[in-house]
Amino acid sequence: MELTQQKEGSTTIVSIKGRLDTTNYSDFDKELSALVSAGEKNILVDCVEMDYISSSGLRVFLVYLKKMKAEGGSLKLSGMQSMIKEVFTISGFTTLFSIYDTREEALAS
Amino acid sequence: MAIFKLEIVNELEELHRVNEALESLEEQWELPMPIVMNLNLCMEEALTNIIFYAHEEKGKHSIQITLEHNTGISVSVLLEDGGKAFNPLEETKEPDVEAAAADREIGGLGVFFIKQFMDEVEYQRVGNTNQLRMLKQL
Repeated sequence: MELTQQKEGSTTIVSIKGRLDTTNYSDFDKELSALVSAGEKNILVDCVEMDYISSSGLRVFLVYLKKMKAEGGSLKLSGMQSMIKEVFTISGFTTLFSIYDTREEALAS
Repeated sequence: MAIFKLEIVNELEELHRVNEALESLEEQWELPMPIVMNLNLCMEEALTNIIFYAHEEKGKHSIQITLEHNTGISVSVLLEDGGKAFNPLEETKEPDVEAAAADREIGGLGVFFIKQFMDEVEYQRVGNTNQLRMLKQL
């Protein structure tokens, strides 16, 4: 899995490339943890190149959704592949998260 | 009918070998990608539970994985381990998929996925072995 970051206005975009699973979810956790510690209030996770997710990865998303909400911030998602969206839907996560088709739509919201 | 066997030890890093095996079977058995993704997810969830919970004593323990392809009909997965009696299908609380974020508990999704994505799931304790069978129709 590769994680890259870029800043767009007040939003930090974290792009995930590859698999997010039990063997590497802690790297994703550390990346988000650093942003929260740095006081970032708006995070957008761009999932265009994320091609697999398991419950370990979903757990990180949920933990940080709760943290960001508690701090009055936001965690949005964009560009989800259909198989990944299916996993999110079955988990009930599509009702918890704001998920946009593109990062542009997410940034404009 | 085609059969593939793989033995791994109870360490998370072994999951990479499982992923590679599935990628190779996707090609060899000409399996649709969504099927392979469902199998990959359910195998990861089941194996993670076995690795975390099946052995109370430290040390390497083996897990036997058998995949069977009934051409055009189904793919089944059998996971066998010699750990303590552990039925992942009964001993986990199901997540409340309709709860709001603040109320949503962190956990319980792994077994939930197995039950959702697989068409048949069965656990048996045979002697000193846990056997978890999952089947996906093609």
